[in-house]
Formats: sequence, C-alpha cells, structure tokens
Amino acid sequence: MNNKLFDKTIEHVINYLNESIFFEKYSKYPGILQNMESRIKIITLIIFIIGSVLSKNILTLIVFNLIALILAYLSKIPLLQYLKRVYFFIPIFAGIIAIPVMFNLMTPGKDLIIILDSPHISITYEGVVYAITFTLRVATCVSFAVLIPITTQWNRVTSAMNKLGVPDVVITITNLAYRYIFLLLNFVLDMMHSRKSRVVNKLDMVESWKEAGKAIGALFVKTYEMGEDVYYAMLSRGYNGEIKHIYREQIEIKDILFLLFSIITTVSLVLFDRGIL
Amino acid sequence: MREIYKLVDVTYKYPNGSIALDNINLNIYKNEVVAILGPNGAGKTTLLKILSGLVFPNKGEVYFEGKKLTDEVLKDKNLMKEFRRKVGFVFQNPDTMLFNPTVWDEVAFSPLHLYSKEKAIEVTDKTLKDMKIYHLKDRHPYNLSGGEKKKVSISCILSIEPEVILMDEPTSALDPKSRLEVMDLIKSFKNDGKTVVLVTHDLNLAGLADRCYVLNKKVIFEGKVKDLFSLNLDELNLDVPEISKLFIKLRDMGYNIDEIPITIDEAVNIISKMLRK
Ligand SMILES: Nc1ncnc2c1ncn2[C@@H]1O[C@H](COP(=O)(O)OP(=O)(O)OP(=O)(O)O)[C@@H](O)[C@H]1O
Ligand SMILES: [Mg+2]
Repeated sequence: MNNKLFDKTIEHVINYLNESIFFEKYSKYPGILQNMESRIKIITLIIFIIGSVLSKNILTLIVFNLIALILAYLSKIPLLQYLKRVYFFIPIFAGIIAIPVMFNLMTPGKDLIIILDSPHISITYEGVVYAITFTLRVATCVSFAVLIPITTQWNRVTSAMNKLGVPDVVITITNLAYRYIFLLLNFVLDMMHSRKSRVVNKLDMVESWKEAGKAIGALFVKTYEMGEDVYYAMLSRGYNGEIKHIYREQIEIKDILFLLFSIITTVSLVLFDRGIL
Repeated sequence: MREIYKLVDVTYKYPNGSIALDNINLNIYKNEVVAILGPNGAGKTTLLKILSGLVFPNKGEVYFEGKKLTDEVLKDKNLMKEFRRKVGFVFQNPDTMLFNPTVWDEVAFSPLHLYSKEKAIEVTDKTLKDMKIYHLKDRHPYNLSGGEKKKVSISCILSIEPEVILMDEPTSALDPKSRLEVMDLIKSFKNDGKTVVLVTHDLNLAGLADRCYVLNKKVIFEGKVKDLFSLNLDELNLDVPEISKLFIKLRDMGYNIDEIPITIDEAVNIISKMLRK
C-alpha cells in the first residue's frame, strides 16, 4: 500500500471527525429543532429512535427516515451534508453485523445466490431482507441521533441531560470524553505533521507500522499525564465531585405540541407496523 | 507585612522517586509580586502545585496565612471553598484548564462551584468583558489560538477575584502584544493589593517582581531581581535580555557600571545620565 495514501486517508478521517463532531455551525441556524427547548428535543428524538427500533417493516422504517429528513430540512441543515454524516457512521455499526446475516447459515430460506454447493452456502432472500431492514433501522436511529449534536450546543446537551436526571458522573465522563477526543485527534494530527516534516526518506510498510506503534504509545503517556493535570486544574478551581449547571431554557406551548405530535406519530407508526392499525 | 505563605524545609518526591524539591524554605508576603526562576525540571511547577494545595510535601511544612496547610484541612468542605476562593492557579499548559464546552462555561466553572448561581452569572459576564474576550463566549475553548486560550485560562481564575494568583509561565506562547497585556495585568494585580507568584524564564517579566527566588531543586538565590546580575548567569540558564547582556559585557570589560538595566527604558535612563555627565 502506498504510504502517502495511508497518511492522507488518516488526515482526512481526522479532519472529517473534527468537522462532524465539533462543528457547531448549524446549532445557531434559526431552524425548527434549534428553536426547541433542549430537553423536549432530546426526549422527542429518543421517542423517534425507540419507534424505529420497534419497527420491523421496511415501509415503516422508510417513513421514520423521512421524518428525520424533514426535521433536518426544517432545521436548515443542508441535506447532502446531513446524509454524509449519517452514512459515515452506518458502516461502522451495521455493515459488520449485516453481512453475515445474509447467508443461509444465519438466515435459512429461499436461495438468491448460491456460492458453494457442498457444503451448501448461499445468500438467501430472507437474509437479504433482514440485512436491509437492519441497516435501515440503524440508519434511521442514527439519523435521529445525529440531529441532537448538530442542532444543539454541547453545553446545552449536557445541562439538559443533567435536568433530565442523568447522574453527574456520567455527564462529567461524557464531557471529558468529548474534550479528549478533540485533543487526541489533534495530537495525532500534529504528530503526523511533525513526523512528515522530519522524515526525509520514505518509510517502508514495517517501519511505518513501527512509527504508528510509537505514536500510539506516546499518545497513551500524554493522555495519562494530561488527565492528572486536568484533574488538578479542576480541583484548584473548586471542583469537589459535583458539576454545577446553569439552565436558562423554558418549555413553551410549541414544545409540548411537538412532543405530543411525536408521541402520536410514533405510536401510530408502530401500531401500523405490527398490523394492529 | 502580613505573611501569606511560609514554607519550612519542604521536600517533595514524585512517586517514581525523582526528587523535585529539596529542603525549600521561603516566605511570600501580602501584596508582593514574587518571581520563581530556574532551568527546566527545577521543580517550579511542583512548587506551585504545593502552594495551591494540590500536592503535599513528603517532608516539611506549608503555612498559608499562618495556618498549616494539609490534606486533612482541605478535606473540610468549607475550608476548602475558602482556600480555593483565595488562591487561583493558572497552569502552564492552558489545554489542561479548558475542559468545558464553551468559553462562558469555562469561566463560570469556579464561580458556580464557589458562589450562588446569580452571582456566578454576573461575575462571569464581568470577567469576560474586563478581559476583552466577551466575543469568544460561545466558542469551543479547544479551537482557540494559543494566546486566546491563555487569556481564557487567566479569566478562569480571575472570575473568583482571588487574593493570591499563582501563574506558571504566563507569557510563554504569547506574541509581543499579548505579552505586554499580561504584564500590564500583573501590574494591575499588584495595584489591586493582590499577591502574585509567577514562574518564568523571561527576565523581562521577572523585572516586574519585587523579589525573586532562583530554584534548582534547592533555593540557590533569593533577593532582588537586579542583584541576580552579580551571579554567574550562564549557570542559571535564564533568558537574559540583550540590553542587559550589553551592559554586563561592558561592566566585565572594566567600565564603571553599577546598575544593569532590564528594559530599554531603564537603559536609556542610565545612558542619558552618563552622557550628561
Ligand atoms: N508527574 C510526575 N511524575 C514524576 N516526575 C515528575 C512529574 N512531574 C515532574 N516530575 C519531575 O520532577 C522534576 C521537577 O518538575 P517540574 O515540572 O516541577 O519542573 P519545572 O521547573 O516546572 O520545569 P519546566 O521549566 O520544564 O516547566 C523534574 O525532574 C521532573 O522530571
Ligand atoms: Mg513547569
């Protein structure tokens, strides 16, 4: 494999992650989700996620997916960017699980493509349907989930979580994790740049893996040292185990209406999915 | 003069066995600006951690306002709050101090832990305006520039108006203009009656101090910054301003020079006096 390509790819992935996780541009747009009270928004989106998890029909899932798209559209998020973000995470979660499910060993049924005769290995019709449903379900859940960070400033997410009764420890850990991901991503990027600027001749495969190993080692030491100092910095500023929050948002009629709408829609869709409605 | 800190025979060893401080004795008085100088690895940061009650000496005693400072004392919630309110610590690496989602939350962190909510909001807004970084309030602290980060990390401790300010290399990574701003800030602390302990390699900055200690595991010099020039400066490994070097060279050549200047203004004064004679 060409080394340059490898470097470039990592750089792109890091920049992409940076953009998708830490880019808060859309959280300030005047859209429907941005204007909603953060707690209600999080609850509503979670209701939709639960609805998608409970659905077994491809059609219902498509409807749920459309709802997510409409919400994104009404929140003034460019749809192309939105889809790119959603489909960046899909292969990570769904792809690995969905592929084996398509085979007759996991899902017996009508053969679609026969790969081996004896022992009999094939891709089955039922398997493919299951894999599509599964991937679609994950895609739908992710579509709703990414709307939270895209349309909400991170501090509002954490204080809403706090208001909803999520324990402090969980919030502190999420906060620090969020911060660390950023620091570490950029640390890796810096390290790669500095290596690139110092290395004169090209490294072969083995050498480049050795380099990567060293970089990861340095990363761990760095994380450990920083962790200690971050903790000291918190202590010296009066931290004693509990995180204090300021919550300035208030629930309005429109938020309640939206909550009701989402509950009714989700319940009807799930009932329809189960053939009750 | 009221004594703020008194250190008696303080020795500190890191758990891995490296001795950072060896039999340190020092006093810091109210409304003093004290500079701590010394080469890399001299134990300067460790000393500040001890002064801010984050770590405790293996041997010897630390007194704060006449009372002994120990782990037990700071376990008491009220005493801890009182101490944290009085002593602010600006870390060497601002990244370790910045762990909140926005600049506003960052600066509000200490006040929220130490004051009531209303007061916290008020002082946070005031500090941001005083430090002229109000426009940054909704930004992520992570992707600010080095100088902006430094200003935010200083604001973080100013928001509780501490009586004692500990600063670890406050001007490193700053451009000349920001460096001057920080120096002005330190002068204003002195005028406001605060006590400042600053660690630095920069003699220009140390020039602001009333007194200085040179550290290399042990205290190797104590006195006025000007008196440093009677020592062998090469051994101390300090950042000596070019203008001071010029005067030292002239003195060593046998010219009659009884005062070594640190700044251009001081040099101009001395030279114009000489020329007038
Ligand atoms: N967490 C740690 N664990 C073990 N040893 C440490 C740790 N932190 C510092 N030391 C060691 O203690 C000694 C003093 O370190 P300290 O950080 O106080 O130096 P410093 O004067 O602040 O140096 P610098 O000018 O580079 O900031 C050094 O020899 C260092 O290697
Ligand atoms: Mg240091």
